[in-house]
Amino acid sequence: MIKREATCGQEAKSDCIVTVQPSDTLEIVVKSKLQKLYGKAIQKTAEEMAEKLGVEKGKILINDFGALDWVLRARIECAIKRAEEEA
Amino acid sequence: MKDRIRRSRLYIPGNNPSIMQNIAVFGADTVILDLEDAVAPPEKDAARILVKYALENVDFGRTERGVRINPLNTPFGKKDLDMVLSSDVELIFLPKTESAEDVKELCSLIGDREICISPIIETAKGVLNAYEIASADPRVVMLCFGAEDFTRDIGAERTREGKELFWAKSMIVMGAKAAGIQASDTVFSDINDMDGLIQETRFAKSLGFDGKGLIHPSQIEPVHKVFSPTQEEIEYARKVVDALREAEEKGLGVIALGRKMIDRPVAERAKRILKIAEELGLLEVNDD
Repeated sequence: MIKREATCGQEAKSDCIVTVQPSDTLEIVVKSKLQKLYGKAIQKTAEEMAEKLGVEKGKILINDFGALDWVLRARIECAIKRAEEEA
Repeated sequence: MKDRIRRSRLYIPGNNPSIMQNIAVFGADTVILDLEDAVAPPEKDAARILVKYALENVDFGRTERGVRINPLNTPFGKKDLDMVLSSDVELIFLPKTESAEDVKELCSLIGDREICISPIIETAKGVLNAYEIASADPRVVMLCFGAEDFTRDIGAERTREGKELFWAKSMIVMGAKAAGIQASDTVFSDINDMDGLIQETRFAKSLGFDGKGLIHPSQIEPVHKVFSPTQEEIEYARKVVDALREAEEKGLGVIALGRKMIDRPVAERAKRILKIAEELGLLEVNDD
């Protein structure tokens, strides 16, 4: 369960910043320099990670700086785990 | 693999994805995905998760997959080890190793799993216990030296000449070789000083080290060159091995090459040079 806002990642080449916040619904917002090319793929990765980690409610914001899929997954997993900890 | 060639061990910060994705292109013999000094405490969890995904997804090519965990007496060490043991890691680097007990503690947590271990010696106590550390478990394949922490520990100043490190380096080589394993020298931290790197690497090789720690991919090629057999060394090794074969065929007890007698250590060294040359593909040009 998402208990607090948490962030993971860096504003750097091939990385991304993922922020997870408490919310009543599951909402995913993607911002990428390559939005047209990869926006949907990033959205799909975030949905898969939310399902894998059992997140049904929460807002996941992804600011992408050219991260590969495995990097996105790592940053999403870390942000969710941090957000699940007590504040 | 215990005795694979480890001329270079390239440190890669555990929380830096842009460097990780190029590991196969860099071509180091071994990489160390670093969860220890390269990662600030608040980011240890992020780095651990990133390294886990990197191990599952990044192309390592022929490079050996190593991870430097945090010391086991920190809040991070055992979590790092849990991740490592659930991943496809070939070599665990154990920092600040000071005694055989440190290695045995790691081994008790690893259980029966076949995985290589490389203790990093970075303190006076660790240097004095080099042989005990090297021989603590059959999975220990290489001793590494960490000079930055070592000079701090003994209260010496780190100099370019490195006289303050000479005894410690020799002790680490002796400890490793007495246990029949490899030794890897400390990193050279000035990435703009290639001459200094080559000079220090040649000195490390002359002491008996098998490889060196690197902090930048541009250091790989010069270091590999120093630790690879030269054509002259290969030619001489061939002559030694040929002379050995000839003596065996003739049933001779004493073997000579020109005016020099070849004894067992010379023969063993020649065989090792040819083995390394073969693995590195250096024999093809002049192969019979």
